[in-house]
Amino acid sequence: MIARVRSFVVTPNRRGHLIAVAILALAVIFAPAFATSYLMLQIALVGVFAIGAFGLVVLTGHGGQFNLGFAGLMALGAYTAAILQQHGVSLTAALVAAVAIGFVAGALLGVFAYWLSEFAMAVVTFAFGIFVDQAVRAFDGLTGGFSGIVLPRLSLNLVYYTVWTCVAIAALLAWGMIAGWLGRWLRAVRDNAIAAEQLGLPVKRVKFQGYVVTAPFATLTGGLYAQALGYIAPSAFQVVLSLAFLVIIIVGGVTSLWGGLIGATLWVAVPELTVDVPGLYPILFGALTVIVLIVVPGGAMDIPAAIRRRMHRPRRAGAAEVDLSAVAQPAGPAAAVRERE
Amino acid sequence: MPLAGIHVRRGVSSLSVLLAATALLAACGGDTTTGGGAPADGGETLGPGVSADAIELSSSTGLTGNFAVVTAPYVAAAKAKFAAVNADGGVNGRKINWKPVDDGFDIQRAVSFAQRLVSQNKILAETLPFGTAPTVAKKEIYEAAGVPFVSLGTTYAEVENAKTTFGCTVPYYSQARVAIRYAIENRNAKRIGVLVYASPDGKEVGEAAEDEAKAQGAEVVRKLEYDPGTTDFSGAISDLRGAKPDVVVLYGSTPDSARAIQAARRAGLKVPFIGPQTMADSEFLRLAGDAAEGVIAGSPYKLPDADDPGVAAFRDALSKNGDGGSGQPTTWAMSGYQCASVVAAALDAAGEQLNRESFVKGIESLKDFDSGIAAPVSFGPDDHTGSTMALVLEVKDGAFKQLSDFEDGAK
Amino acid sequence: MSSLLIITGIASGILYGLMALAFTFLFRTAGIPNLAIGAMGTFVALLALKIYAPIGLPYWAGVLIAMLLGMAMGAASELLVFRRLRGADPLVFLVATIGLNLLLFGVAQYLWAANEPYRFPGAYSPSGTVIVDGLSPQAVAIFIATAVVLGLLSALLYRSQMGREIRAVAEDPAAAHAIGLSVARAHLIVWMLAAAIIGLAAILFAPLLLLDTSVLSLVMYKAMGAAVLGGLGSLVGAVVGGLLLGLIENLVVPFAPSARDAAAFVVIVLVLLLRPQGLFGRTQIKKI
Repeated sequence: MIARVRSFVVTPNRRGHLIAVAILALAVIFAPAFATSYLMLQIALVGVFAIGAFGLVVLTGHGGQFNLGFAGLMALGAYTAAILQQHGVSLTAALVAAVAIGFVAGALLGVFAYWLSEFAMAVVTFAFGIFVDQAVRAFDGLTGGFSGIVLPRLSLNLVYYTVWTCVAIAALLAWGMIAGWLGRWLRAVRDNAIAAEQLGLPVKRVKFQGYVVTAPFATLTGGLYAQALGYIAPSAFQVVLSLAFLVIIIVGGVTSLWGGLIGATLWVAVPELTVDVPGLYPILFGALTVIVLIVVPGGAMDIPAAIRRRMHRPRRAGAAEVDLSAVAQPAGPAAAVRERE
Repeated sequence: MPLAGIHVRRGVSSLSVLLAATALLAACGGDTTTGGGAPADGGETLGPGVSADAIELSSSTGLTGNFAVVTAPYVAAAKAKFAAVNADGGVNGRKINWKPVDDGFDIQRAVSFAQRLVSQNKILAETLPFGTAPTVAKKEIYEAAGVPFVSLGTTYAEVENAKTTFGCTVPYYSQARVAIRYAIENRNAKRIGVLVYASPDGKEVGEAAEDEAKAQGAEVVRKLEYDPGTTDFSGAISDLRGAKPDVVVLYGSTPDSARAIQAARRAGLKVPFIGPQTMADSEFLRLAGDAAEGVIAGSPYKLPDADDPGVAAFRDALSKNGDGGSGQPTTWAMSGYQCASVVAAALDAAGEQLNRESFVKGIESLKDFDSGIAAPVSFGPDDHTGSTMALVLEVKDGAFKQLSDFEDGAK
Repeated sequence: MSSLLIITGIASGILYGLMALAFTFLFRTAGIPNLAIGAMGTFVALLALKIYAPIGLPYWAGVLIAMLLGMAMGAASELLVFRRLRGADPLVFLVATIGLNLLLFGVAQYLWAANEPYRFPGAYSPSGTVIVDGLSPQAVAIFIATAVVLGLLSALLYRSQMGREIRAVAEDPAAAHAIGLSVARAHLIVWMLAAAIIGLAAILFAPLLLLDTSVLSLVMYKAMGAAVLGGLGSLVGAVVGGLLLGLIENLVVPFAPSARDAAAFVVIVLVLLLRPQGLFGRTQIKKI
C-alpha cells in the first residue's frame, strides 16, 4: 500500500523542470501588478483551458483513449458551479462540487469502456456532449435554458488567482498520474493492449479509471470558465470546443503537459490577436494545425527534437525513403515521444 | 540521461511561447491610460474616447459567422448614417468614429472585447452590437463598470433593470404582436401555431402570440421551439400541420425563416405565416422565393422604397456609403441606420461636456425622436426600450404591401 | 399526419445517407475518419455555384462541376496532407481533418459569407410542384443519385480489379506494397471518389437546405453518426443508417420536439452497445 502511494508520487530529480515551473509561477503571480484587466482575463482563460488539456493529455496522450465530450463535461461543471453560486454557495465549494460531478460523469462514461472499442467510445463521449446540451436546454427551470445564467460578480483578481491555483494543483496531479503507476498502465494499454492483457494488466479497468480521473479536469475547467466569463449559456459549450481540446493537445505535443499549456495559449491568443482581421482566425488555426501535424507530428514540444533529427539524419537512398513511407511505420506523436523516452 | 535537460528545454520553449503571446496581447491590449486625444478645456469632465474633435465608439458583433449576412448591411448602414452626420459637421463639433470588431457571436470573445473596452478606457461606449448571448454577457460587465451600452433591444429582457443599457430598435415581441393582432382581427385567425427559435427573442415572440390570443379570444394550438443549428424543419412543420392551425407565427433568422416556410410549402402547409422584421426583409423574399407569398410581417420601419423624405434620406446616405453588398436596403440596414440615428441624437443631447454619465442622460432625455424611417422613439429613466411601434406588411405578388400604419405592440 | 413525418424524415435522411456513404467509403479504404466532409462539401458546392451561375449554365452542369471540383479537392488533400501523414496514429488523421475542416470553413466564410445563404439558379424551386406532400422532385432525384452512386461504388470495390487492389491496400498496406500494389495510387483514388461524393451531396441538397457556410458543418456529425449506425465497413449500411436517422429524428418531434438531436444519438449509442459493429457491419476480430 505504502509502496503504491510512493510509486504514485514518484519524484526523480527534475531540477531543470522545477526551474521552468518556478519562472512560470513567478510570472503568473506578479502579472496582475502590471497587466490590464483584459490581459488578466486572457491569462486566466489560458489557465482554464490548460487544465482541461492536462486531463486530455493523460487520457488520450498517455492512454490512447478518446473523449470527445469535453464540451459536455465543461457544461456540466460550469452549470453545477453556477447554479450553486446562484444559491449562495461559496466559490470554493462550487468548484469542489464541479470536480465531484466530474468523477460521477467520468464513471458514467468510463463504464462504457468495458464493452466498447476506442472508436466507439469516441462516438459515445461525443453523444454525451449532445445529451448535456439538450438537457441544459430542457431543464430550463434549473439552468435558465437558452437564456443562460449570469454568475454573481467576482473580482477579476480572485478569479485569476483561483484559476492559476487550480492550474498548479491540476498540473501536479496530472504529472503524478503520468509519472506513477496509472500512467505506466495507461501507456501499456495505449501501446499494446493485447500484450498488456497477457501480462495480467486489467485493461478494461484501467481504461475505466482513465475516464474517471480525467473527467474532473474537464468539469473543473468548466466551473472556472463560468467564473471567467461571468455568464454561461448553452451556446458556449458547442461541439467545436470538444474538438478544440484535441487540437490543443496535438499541436502542443500530445503526451506533454507543457504542450497542453502551449496549445491552450494558442487557442486563447490566436482569436484575440487576429481580432482586427475578421475571418482570419479559423483559417490561421486550421492551417496551423495541419502544418504542425505534417512538419512536426510530435507537436510544438517536439520542435527541438525534430530539428535535431533533421540535422543528424544521414542521407538515404531515394528508394528506401519511398519504401518507408508506403509501410505503416509509426510516425505519429505518440511514437515520437517513444523515440524520446 | 539528461532528463533535467529535456525538461528545461520543454519548460523554456513553452514559457517563451507563453511570454511571446502575453507580450503580443499586452501590446495589442493597450494600456490603462485614460482619455483619447488631446482633451478640450475642462479635460476631466470629458469621458474616455472623447476629444475636441472626435468621439470613439465601438462594438463587437458577428462580422463572421451565421449571421454575417445580416450584420453586413447593419454595419454598413450604421456607418453610412454616422458618415452623413459627420459630413454635416458631426455632433457638437465632434466626428463620430464607430469601429465594430468581430466576435463571431462567441461569448468568450465578446467578454474579452468588453474587458478590453473597460481596461483600455479609450472608448466612450459600446453601441450597435449584434448577438443575443454575447450581448447578455457584455451587459453584465458594462452595467458593473458604468459603460453605456446601446444594443439592438430585440427583447424586453435585455434592458430590464438596466442603468446604462438601452435598446435602439423595437422588441420582436412588439413587432410580432402587431402582426398577430392584424391576422386575428382581419383574417379570422382562431387557431395559432407557433414555431420559434429557442432564444430569449423567440420566447418573447411566443409570449406575444399567447398574450394577443388571450386578448382576442383566439387559441395557440401548438408551440414548438427549434434549437440552434436546425436546418431541417420538416419534422416541426409536419407536427404543426397536424394541429391544423389557421396561421403560424414564425420567428427565426431570415435564412431559417425561409427554410421553414419552404419546408411548409413542400409539406402542404399553406396557411399564412406571421412574424417580425426577420420576414419583412427583401433578403427574405429572395431566399424564400414563391414560398413567401402571403407572409404577414410586423416591421418597425417604413418600406425602403417609400416616397417619404425620411426614407429618401436613408437611401441617400446608403448610396453614398455602400449598403453592405446586399444590393438592396434591407430591414437590417434600416436597423443599423435607426440605431446610429438614436446614438447620434443622444450624443447631441448629451451636450458639450460629453462623458459616460452625460451620454446616458442624453439617451434618457430623448422624447419623440424621429429618425425618419420609423415611429418616434422616447426613452426615460425607467424606459430603456425606446419604441414598441410597428406596422404590418404582407407579401403579395413577390413584393411587400403595407397593410396598416404604426401600431403599438407593447406588453 | 405521421405519414408526412415519415416521408419528410426519409427525404431528409437521404442527405445523411449520402454523406455517410462518402465517410464510410473513405474510412473503410484508407482508415481516415474525415471530419472535414462538412466544410469540403460546402466549399465545393459554393465554388461550383460561382462558376456555373454567372456564365448561365444549367444546374446539372453545376452538379457535374461540383463533382469535378470534389475530385480536385480530394486529390489535393491526399497529395498535400495525408500522404505525408501516412502511418501515423488514427488520432493524427482525426485532428488533421479537424484542422482541414476549420481551414476550409474559414476560407469559405471569408469568401462567401457576406451574401449567404445562396439560391442555386436552375435547381428545384422551393414552392414548385411536389410529388406528394413532403417529397419534392429534388429529393427524388437525390434518391436516384444515391442509389446510382451506391451501385457504382459497390461495383468498383467488389467487382473490379481496382477495387480488389483498394481493398488489399486497406487490409494491410505493408503486404500490399510488398506484392507490388501502389498504396499511393489507391489512396489517391479513394480520396478523389469520396470527395466527389461529398461535393455531389452538397450541391444536390443545396437548394433544399438554402446552403450557407455553416449548414453542412452541423449536418456532418449526424452523417457520421449514421455511418456508425450502419456499420463502418458497409456502404449500404451508411445509406440505410442515414435514412433511419432522418426517420427517427422526425418521428420524435410530436413527443419531444426538443429532443430531436439527442434522440438520434441515443439510438446510435444503443446500437453500439447491442451490436458494436453497427447494423450492417461485419464483426471484426475483437480489439480490447
